[in-house]
Amino acid sequence: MRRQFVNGSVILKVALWYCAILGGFAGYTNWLPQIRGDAPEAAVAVDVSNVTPEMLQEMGESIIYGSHDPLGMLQRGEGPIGKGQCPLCHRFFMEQKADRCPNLIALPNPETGDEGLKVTEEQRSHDRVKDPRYKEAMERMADGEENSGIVPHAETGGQYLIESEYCPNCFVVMGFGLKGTNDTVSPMPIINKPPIQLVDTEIVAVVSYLQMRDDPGKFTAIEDWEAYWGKTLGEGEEEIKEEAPAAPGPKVALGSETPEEIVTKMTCYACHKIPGIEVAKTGMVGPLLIEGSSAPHRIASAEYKARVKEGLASATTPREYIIESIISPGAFVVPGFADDMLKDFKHKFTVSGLDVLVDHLLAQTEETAIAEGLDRLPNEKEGSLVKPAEAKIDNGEKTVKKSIEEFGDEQDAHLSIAGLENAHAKSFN
Amino acid sequence: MIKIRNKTLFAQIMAIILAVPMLAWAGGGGATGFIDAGTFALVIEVGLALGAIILATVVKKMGMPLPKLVQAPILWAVCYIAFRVILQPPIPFSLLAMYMGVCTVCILLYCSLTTESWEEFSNPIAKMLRANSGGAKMSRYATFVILPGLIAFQTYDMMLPKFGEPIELRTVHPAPPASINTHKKVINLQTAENPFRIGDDGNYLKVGDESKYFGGNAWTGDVPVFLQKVQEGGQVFFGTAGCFFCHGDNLDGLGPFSFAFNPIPANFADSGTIAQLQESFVFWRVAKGGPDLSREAFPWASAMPPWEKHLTTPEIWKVIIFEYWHTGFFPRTWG
Amino acid sequence: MSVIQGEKKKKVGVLLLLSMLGLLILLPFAVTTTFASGEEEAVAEEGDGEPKMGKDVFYKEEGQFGPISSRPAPELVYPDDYGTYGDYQSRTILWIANQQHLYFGSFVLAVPMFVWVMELIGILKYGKDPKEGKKFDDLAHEMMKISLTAYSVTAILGGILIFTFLALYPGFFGYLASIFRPVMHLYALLFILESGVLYVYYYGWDAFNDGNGDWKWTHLGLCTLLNAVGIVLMVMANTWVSFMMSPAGVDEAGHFLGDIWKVMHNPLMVPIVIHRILGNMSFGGGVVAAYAAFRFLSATNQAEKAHYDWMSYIASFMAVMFLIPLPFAGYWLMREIYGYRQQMGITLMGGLLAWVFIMQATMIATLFITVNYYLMQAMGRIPGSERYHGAFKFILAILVISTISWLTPHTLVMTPAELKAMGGAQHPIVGNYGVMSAKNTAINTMITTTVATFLIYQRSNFNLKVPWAWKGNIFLVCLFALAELNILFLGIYGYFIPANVRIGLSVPQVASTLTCLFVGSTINAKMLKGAEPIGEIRWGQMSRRGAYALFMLAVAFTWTMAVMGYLRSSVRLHWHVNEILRDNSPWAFTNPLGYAGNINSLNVLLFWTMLLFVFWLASLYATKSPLAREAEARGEVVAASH
Repeated sequence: MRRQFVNGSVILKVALWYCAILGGFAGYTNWLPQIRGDAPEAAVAVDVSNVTPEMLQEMGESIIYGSHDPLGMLQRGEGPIGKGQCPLCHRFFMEQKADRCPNLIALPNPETGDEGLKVTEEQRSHDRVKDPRYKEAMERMADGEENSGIVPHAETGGQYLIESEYCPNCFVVMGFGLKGTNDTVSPMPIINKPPIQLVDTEIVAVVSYLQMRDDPGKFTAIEDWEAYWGKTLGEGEEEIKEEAPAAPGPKVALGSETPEEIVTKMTCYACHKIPGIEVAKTGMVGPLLIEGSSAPHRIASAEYKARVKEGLASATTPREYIIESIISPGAFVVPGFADDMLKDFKHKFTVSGLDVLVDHLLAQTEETAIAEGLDRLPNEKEGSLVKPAEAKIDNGEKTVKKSIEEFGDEQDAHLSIAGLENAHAKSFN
Repeated sequence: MIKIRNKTLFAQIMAIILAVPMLAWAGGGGATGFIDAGTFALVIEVGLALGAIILATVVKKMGMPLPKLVQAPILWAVCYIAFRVILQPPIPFSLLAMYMGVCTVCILLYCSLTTESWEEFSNPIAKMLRANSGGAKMSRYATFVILPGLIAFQTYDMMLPKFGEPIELRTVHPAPPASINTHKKVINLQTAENPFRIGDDGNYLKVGDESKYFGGNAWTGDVPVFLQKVQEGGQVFFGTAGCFFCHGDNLDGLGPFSFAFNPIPANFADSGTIAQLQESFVFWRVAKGGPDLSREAFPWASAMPPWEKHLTTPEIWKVIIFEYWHTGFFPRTWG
Repeated sequence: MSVIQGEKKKKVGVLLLLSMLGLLILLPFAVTTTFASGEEEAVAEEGDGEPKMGKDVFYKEEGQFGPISSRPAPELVYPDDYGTYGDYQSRTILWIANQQHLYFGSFVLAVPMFVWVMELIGILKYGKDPKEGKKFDDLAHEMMKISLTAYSVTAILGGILIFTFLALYPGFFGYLASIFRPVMHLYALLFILESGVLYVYYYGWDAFNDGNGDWKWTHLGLCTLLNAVGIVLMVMANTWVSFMMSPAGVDEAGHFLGDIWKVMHNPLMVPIVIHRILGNMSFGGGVVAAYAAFRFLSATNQAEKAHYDWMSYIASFMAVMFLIPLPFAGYWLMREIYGYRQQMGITLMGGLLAWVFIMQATMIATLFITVNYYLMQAMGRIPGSERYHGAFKFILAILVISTISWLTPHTLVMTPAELKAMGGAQHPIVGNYGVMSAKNTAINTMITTTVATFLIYQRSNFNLKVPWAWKGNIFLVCLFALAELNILFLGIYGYFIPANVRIGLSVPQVASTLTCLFVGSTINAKMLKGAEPIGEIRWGQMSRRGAYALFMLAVAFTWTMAVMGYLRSSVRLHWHVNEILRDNSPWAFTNPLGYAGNINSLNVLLFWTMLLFVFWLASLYATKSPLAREAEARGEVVAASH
């Protein structure tokens, strides 16, 4: 006798039938038009002090262009427009067509008398603050600008750039205001509010991009931001629990490290003597790093001023000078030395790591060097810290000879210009 | 024998009579000027349907009903001709495919409605697949040649490079933002009302109540407040902003510039555009134009300029009043 | 005498049992109240005295403020707050887990509702015709048997779902749990009650069965309790879902404001609950019908075939009964969504998700066409139905025309060349079908047609004997014709009036449809009084196509649920909880329809494969042992094994 189980063929038929139905439905949905709704990009949550200036610059670049190859995109006929949507109105490249808002590559502007190209946007930003129309705007909006509530109070170029994003109406470049408003109302949206809605760090990244593109050593966006708002960037946000992990890959100087560790990691000691750093007592390639004493002199030196005039260097304070020298060693080469310093430190320092080192270097003066028995190299113009009478002359002579043999003056200038060009080319690409 | 031939002849004549207007229509590309395309198509469709029913009845009465297996392809062909040729202007392929899909399924259902009709329909097929006669064998062979051939052709056709522009899927009415910022004012699109909907009593005129002003002349001297606003809106439309260059004198999207645009400008006279939208939505579109289209409105193909740069807020509201008044549509409300 | 005493004892026992169950229902409430009050105290202590007040995101004026009683919604970070399994989309895994649980959940919640109706009919019929009454009672019992197997599957799937949540979305689930803490516990505790009642109800079936006596009524009372608990459970789970769509009772930062009822009673909760209950019922009917169809197809003898033919008819009738109001409930839900956020409404109907509605229209059209087709097939077993065969094709034609006008999208997909040829984005003729007026007209026409088919089905077996039969016929024809004319007229009129008035038009349209349904079937029933059957209904002689149509109906139902679930979930876009808790996982995007279609098909496939297993189990259980069959053949009575 056969047991009366349900016979398999019915199960099979039924299964085939509903598989066919399901296939039909799924096929139909695939035939209908497909739209994928992407979530708007979330704000990038970064701890600015733990990224390298270059990372910040790259972040700014991708906010502006949505790509790291904007020029290539333009040449392919695509529009490089990122989350910030800046290139919709601002012109960043000669190849690009956008004239709704002031161009950001410093083309001539007959209305304001700008000479164009000879000055960079970074430099121009400093002029904006000094513009009499800016003073006028400050008075006009003493009670705060209507939409953002901000009273224009930028003091430096960097602060001006930051202010323009939070409060486009605070200063409207002549000829770019809304028609009929006599250049008092800007067509630009407030960047930290919808629809663009960048967060503070992103705005800092955009400003960093502008600064470093025009002047590779210039990296003051964070300072500017903090000076402008009078608070620490990232304050009020939830504290980031830990430092960026020491990820595998290139070594990076972190803010949590001591100057000693940073110098070791970055192998500064291979070339420089640095007071207060145990390992850095023997470097004979670069200058003695007593920036508390040297930096002010260097900025004031005729050579440095010449570089500033050429638009290659821009530091005005010792601090800026040190940062410039690390981030963009080619901007200014101490007379008597070659432009031999590695150019990749901007990849290797987090902002806070840079601060640690800069603080340490600023604290070093002639006295600290003398205390540790360190001396300048003979090819440094400032001359030895040790009075000639006490100097060990034999040693000195040898060193002078050697260094002159190795780094001739003529070669010097040539190299440093090549380096600068490289640096510029790099930041433009 | 002769009788049957006569009947067949009669059926053929009927078919030709029905086919003539269809073919004439298809050949002539539409009876332009005589009667508008839509009406003509409807007339033809209804005529065709009646004709088909009469034909079917006549044929049945004459004692020669068509077997289901023959009816099915004929029905299918009639549907195809109706949607492909008679319905003018031509509908896009995607829609045609959708319609024909429904028709195909329903014709199959029609053939299997009762057990008898299903047997009538399926027996010849079963016979063709199973019978051992020469004819059945031949048709089997033919099927197994033609079927792969068709699939091969389909594949070939799919692989063949096409030179048409790619299909562009536009979301015509994307979701608006919750609020917009125009002329230093935040406008909440959920709640914003047109400030110029003013009735004779000076109060807000509820949507729908403006119908009493429809068809009147807003350009005579003494008109109600509402019509004054319409008039001012008209000045914006034809003067200040010059909307008519694209959207047309009759607001039908056929302005002198319209042919340069792809997609062509919105046709306000169509029930699918402003009639489907809230006034605040229209305000958003006018004020912000193409540049402010939301993410989902890919590929943002809109040449509409952001008019807030050139018009004041009141001007925008007035031109909206004018557009609704002129087309006789009412804005959508959710209240 | 002893029998009566036994009866009394039994009654006392039942009363005790019921009161115990009643106490059980109170237990979770008591527990949660204690929890809730303890929590408030804790907050008060922390915030030294006066708790901070938060502003509600939804409630205005009265009850706008409430004490902040939880932490804010977390800022979720990927990958810390999300779990992954390799490269698979976590969301899809959760989607599948959720959908499976939901399918089985709705099934086990819906079946008791039917069983309740069936048992009631059985009791009521028992008085007149015990055989007929028993038939319904057995049907109810058999349905319950399937439900019992499915019940344990539901529990397993629920466990899987919870673990999936915890493993893949710990951050999100943590937040939801922090707000719904007391409700979630209540939910879990209520399941104890649900299970208890279910087991007593099912295993006590024969013990309580005294035809239509008090015991049987008590048994029905148990079923009522079962359904009540089931509905409460569903409402609770629904509040979580509707909270995610339209949060209330929290402030902008996601702080819970201390009143759990406000959280539960969020703006979309009521319409979603109503829509779900109706959908559940219809779905349950469809699944039971599919079960019957399966048994019908696999039946080996005529008696079995007849039984399952009949069962499939009853179940599909229930499914259709709840299918008819479903579009109206959906329409209401849509209005509420527009009322809540216009943006959400437009995203659904005109924006990102508009094509899903074309898919939904396809599904609903499929459902209605299938129902009609099934009824036509079912008439194959009814002598006398031949008289109506001629009408079938016209019914089909009306359905086709309605479907075509309903499927026409507002935004057409076309190449630029086609656009130019058409002369604009809207077609002058078919463009008119893309708007709401046409779609309302189409769906109302389809429903009215389905009602007409059903009336034809009902009377197909009879020669009418009431003297006013011809008047009644004329009246019915006029009723349907007028209703359809009214629907058409209102549909066309809708093009000429503003949208706010047009929305109002749907009311008279629906009224026409419902009038057809109620007046039509009442008159029809009256006309059938004393009518003379043309022949015995040949149960078991429905065509196999009819059985497959029932499968189509059930599968289409399941698929519709899936696609609407996708829609409801997608409309939140990149939010876990709309505008409160952002989805920061890489899967925050909205999947395209094709992907959703594939996953839906996969889900439905899984569900039906599991269900087929459950069906097979049921049939295994029903199979008598060879010994029993031999005994039966000898004419001995074998005690029921259950």
